[in-house]
Amino acid sequence: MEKNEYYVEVKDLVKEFRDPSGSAVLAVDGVSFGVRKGEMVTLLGPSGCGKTTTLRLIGGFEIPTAGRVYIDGVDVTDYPPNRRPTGMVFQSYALFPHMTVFDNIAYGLRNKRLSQSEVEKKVYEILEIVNLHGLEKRYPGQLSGGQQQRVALARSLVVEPKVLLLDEPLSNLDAKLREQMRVELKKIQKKIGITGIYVTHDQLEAMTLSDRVIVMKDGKIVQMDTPEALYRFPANKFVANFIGKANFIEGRISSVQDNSCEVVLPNGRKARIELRDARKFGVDELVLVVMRPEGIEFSDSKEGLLAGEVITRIYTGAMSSFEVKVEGEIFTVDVQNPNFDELPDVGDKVWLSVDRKAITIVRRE
Amino acid sequence: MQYQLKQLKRIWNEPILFAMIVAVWLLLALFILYPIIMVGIKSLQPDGENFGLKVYKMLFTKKYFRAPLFNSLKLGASVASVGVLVAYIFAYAITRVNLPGKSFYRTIATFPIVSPPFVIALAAILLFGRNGVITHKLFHDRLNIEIYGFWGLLIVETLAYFPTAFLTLEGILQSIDPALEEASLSLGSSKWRTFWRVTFPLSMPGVLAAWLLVFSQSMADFGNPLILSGNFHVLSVAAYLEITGSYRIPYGAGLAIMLLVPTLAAFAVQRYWLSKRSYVTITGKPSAMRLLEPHIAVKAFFTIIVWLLIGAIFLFYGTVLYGSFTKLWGVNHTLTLDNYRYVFDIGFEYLKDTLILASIATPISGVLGILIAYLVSRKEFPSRRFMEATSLLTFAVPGTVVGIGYLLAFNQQPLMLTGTALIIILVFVFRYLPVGVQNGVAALYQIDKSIEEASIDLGASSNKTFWKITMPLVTPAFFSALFYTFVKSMTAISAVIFVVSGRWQLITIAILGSVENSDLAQAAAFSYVLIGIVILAMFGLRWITNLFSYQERVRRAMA
Repeated sequence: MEKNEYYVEVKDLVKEFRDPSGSAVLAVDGVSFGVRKGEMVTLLGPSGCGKTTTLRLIGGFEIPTAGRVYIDGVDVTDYPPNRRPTGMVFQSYALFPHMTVFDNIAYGLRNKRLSQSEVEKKVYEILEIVNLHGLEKRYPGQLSGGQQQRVALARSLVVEPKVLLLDEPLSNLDAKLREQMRVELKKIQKKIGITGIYVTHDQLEAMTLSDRVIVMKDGKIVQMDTPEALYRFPANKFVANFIGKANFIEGRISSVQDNSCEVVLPNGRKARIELRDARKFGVDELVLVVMRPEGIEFSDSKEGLLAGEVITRIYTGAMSSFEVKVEGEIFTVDVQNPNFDELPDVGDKVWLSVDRKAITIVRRE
Repeated sequence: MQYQLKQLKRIWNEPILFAMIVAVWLLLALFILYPIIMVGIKSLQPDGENFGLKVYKMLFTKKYFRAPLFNSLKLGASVASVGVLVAYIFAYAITRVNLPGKSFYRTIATFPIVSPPFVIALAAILLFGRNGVITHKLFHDRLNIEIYGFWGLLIVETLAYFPTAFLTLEGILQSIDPALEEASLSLGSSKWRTFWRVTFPLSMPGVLAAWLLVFSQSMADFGNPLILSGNFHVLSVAAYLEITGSYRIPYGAGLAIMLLVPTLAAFAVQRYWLSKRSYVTITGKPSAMRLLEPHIAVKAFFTIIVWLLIGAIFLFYGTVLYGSFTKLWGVNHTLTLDNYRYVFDIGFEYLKDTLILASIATPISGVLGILIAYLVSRKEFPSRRFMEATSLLTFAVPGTVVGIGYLLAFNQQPLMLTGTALIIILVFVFRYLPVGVQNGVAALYQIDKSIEEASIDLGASSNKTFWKITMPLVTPAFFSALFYTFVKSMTAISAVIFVVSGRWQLITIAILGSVENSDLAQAAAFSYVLIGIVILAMFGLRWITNLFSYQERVRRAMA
């Protein structure tokens, strides 16, 4: 690894909190990662996994118990937030309620002692980018949630921070608006080409917005990968479950090659599975086979991989979702663009075939 | 330990913040801790020099000293019990029962909080005293009521302090989700059973808190017992007389400590023990009120209690108002403006001095209070919790103790302040500091912390963030702290009576003088001028809050 490969670098961060009873809780437990210039990286995980604390440590809002934070080669660990080249977009937007949109956005520029004409030029530029021109005289209380969100974004972007930190910025919006803003955020980020760290518990947001995703659990990093690799090759059962839906069944490795291995399923059938690092598994090792619901199909012949019985079927419009009992486990099977007449009914005995790209294996834990 | 070092390192990076913390600590140590410690030290020096426990031995063995302690505790417990009972019924009526004219009842019931302290005692004398309209005129002395003593004080202090209990209980009753009561009703409980099994247990922490609050207020009360206690000696007055009457400073200090211990204990229990045991989470917004339409008899019961209470307040304040226009109370009830002429003529000096001193102290106290609130609720530094506790301490310390402390602490070089205006201002500033701190902390609690973080993230210093972001957002809380400090300074007596001098006169001292000269009509006129100022200040507060609060600005922009 080259020395200056990363624009933002976090090394062995530890943050210990005292809970009300006085005992220590490790919110962040030895987290290290780097972000390249212009890259968008997401910290993804369930609530309480330490992702927001990690972001706040980078922004300077918490003092780390141990570890360092570097931005553009400078150790900023002991800097207060106002001396760090970071811009934070808060979950609650944190707009100043007593200032107009214009004054909110101009606030950071004025702290840099820019002239009034420069301030105005930059504010109007950014208003254009986030699509808010004409609203500069309004107060935050007069704006919709989506508009407030864009003001918060503009306010952070206008000071041109080296790193943009986003703390679940879309979580206060309703589902439709969130989808819209997700796309808009992606466009703005591409337009400006900013380096960003994004925190969310929504895997869809993480997949849409980021170049790389860091999955966290209990204060530790579980896996760091591109969205695609994360989905296809989850590191363990937790990641497989957290990113998308997954069905699990036990299997035993029967042979191992460089990029694939063969697994024997409980019903005796064998499956060849493509893997990136197949050599980490040993022959005869017991593993969990992961199958994505959308990669499973009902097959007419008895040539399918698994046999089962349909327990429920749910129609949701764009797809149909089935629960199938397979070898004592409940499998979910999603069928896109369903043609109801051709699909099995509750109680039917069915055979399932699985797309090779939608199957992988993880260690049993 | 290492963490604290890191905190220190952070603060060191912000020199203004660091200087501010040091400065606040110096002020708190010098003007809050030091005087109280002086009281303790003096009580341990029976002859003024050598240390010994003789004072305390005497306080516990001599009946002369034991009686005030016993009396104060008895009075405090009685006032607290009666006051909380009355306040509970009143608060329940206001929050749960469908009665018309609520906001009117509420305003009237809370008025004693801001009124001068001994107006109610004065009214009691005018009504039930030797020349009282009820005892003397109505019943021609056949009614054997002794207003001077325990019963008089019980009635007067209950009227004076039940409003505090009412506000506490109103808050807690409002924060109990009505859905809980509805759930109980739908599960088959009667309203009566629902009250005793759901509502009352949930409000229990509030009841205890209110009880302790009123208990402390009654213990600390000085104005009412000074003119109404008769032979029923209480600690605050006994300590005052020991020091100003008999010049036995160690004994005065000892009595002050006896007064301090129970009030401090009550404060500590309420703040650090009780607050953790509340079932109700205060979310800041009271849950939507749903009013019960109770049985007619129940409604009648509440109506009668509310009317009785409101009636008593009107009777007491009305009597004083009427009295202020009479020639000589009890003897000659011809209406006259002479008393007011006297107040604005001879009494003008008192009025002017009080206004000047209170007007200087108020903004200082308010700004300092908000500043401390900001430091303790938004900044991390070693000794943060201790700073908060110290700044709130004067809530728990009776005025008498503060007054004696200031008298003892600042009558020698290098801090020779006795007799100056400064010492009076300092008493005002630090005595009412907790209001600013508490209002500030409450207001800051409502403001999303990330708003200030956003400011710092955008390059503003802590200092700039405070003035540009925090201060505008807490303006309403700040002004209400100013109002309270001003009113309390105008009506203060227990602490300042120890530090006043001939050069600076206070209106409350003038009222006391008039009462001592049995010139009750004049005292009534002084009191009503004071009440007039308080009411003016109230309107001033409303006007100024509207002028400066951003909520108003935003509202106007939206209209």
